[in-house]
Amino acid sequence: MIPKALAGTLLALLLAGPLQAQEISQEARGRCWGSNPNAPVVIEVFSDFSCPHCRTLYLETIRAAMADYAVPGKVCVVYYEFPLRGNRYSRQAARWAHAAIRLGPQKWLRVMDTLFRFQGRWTRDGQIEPILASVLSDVLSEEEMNRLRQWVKDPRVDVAIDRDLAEGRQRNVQRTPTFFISANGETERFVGSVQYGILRRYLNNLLARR
Amino acid sequence: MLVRVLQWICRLGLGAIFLYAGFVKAGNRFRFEMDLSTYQLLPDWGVIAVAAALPWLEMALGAVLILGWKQRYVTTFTALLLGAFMAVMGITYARGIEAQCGCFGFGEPISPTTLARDSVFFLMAVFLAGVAWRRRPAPEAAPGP
Repeated sequence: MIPKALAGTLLALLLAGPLQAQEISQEARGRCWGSNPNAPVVIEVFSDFSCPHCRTLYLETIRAAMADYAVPGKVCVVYYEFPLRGNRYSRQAARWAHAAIRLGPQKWLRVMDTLFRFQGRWTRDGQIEPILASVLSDVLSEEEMNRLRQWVKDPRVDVAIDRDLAEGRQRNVQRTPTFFISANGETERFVGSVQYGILRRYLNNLLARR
Repeated sequence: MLVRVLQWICRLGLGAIFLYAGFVKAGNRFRFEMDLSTYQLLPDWGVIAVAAALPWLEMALGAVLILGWKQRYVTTFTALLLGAFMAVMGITYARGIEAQCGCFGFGEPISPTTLARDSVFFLMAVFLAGVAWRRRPAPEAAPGP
């Protein structure tokens, strides 16, 4: 156990510091939430809708960062679906969220909000559709809701989720939430949820160093 | 003799570890704040205060350990500090919170490996404190006639 722990320490020391600069793919830039797809800072989040820490990160931190940094074009945010196998309804929720991208960024955001806000309800029985239909009745027309119901069944949605999962595995994502912040040619990796006040200081420092 | 060799190894080893850990954190304070924040234990001002103070405390402790100054108190303080780190990490891990260790460098999640590694450091510090307190203090000079 001890030699293993020491080996782990050495590995951690070797891996310490920022990762090599990763070129943000055009696809990721295209999926960016924010007014500027070429924003100087990119936050990429690998998230599972059933995970409580992903909920906290999204509702208490990323949502505020979107309003304060992504809307003015300083940061863009990319969400990757990373449904963990142990969570029964995660994949289903990821399908709804991914299908909602086709409704446009504002409505996609409302679907994300609803999935995270009502996580405690649908993770019990997997009844996502009734929650979305009732909560978003003032946002989505009946026609849009029907289209969303069709898109959720589209096999291309599953292909896209699998692509996100593969992207996460390639980046050695093992837990959720894991997020990467790229700026000034460097990418840093974070695991877990952070307070918005602290993220704000981190982002301000990155933007000031440009 | 063996105890003395072990004592030197533990003291210099821990000193170097603390110097390194403090140096890495002091060099990237905002990143360290992010790691501390993942513990979900402190409010914003607490995270900022700890991130500002801890790296310098660690570097000072590392230097004093290497110099071997006031060993009884310094090794006891080191053991208490490592014990506190272990308690915080252990509680965070037991609560199922995904947090980053923030121990050496960044981006390392708390795991059984990080807990085992810190246990080794804690035992080294306890050993040093135990040896320091068991050793007899140098005899005082005999009073003059």
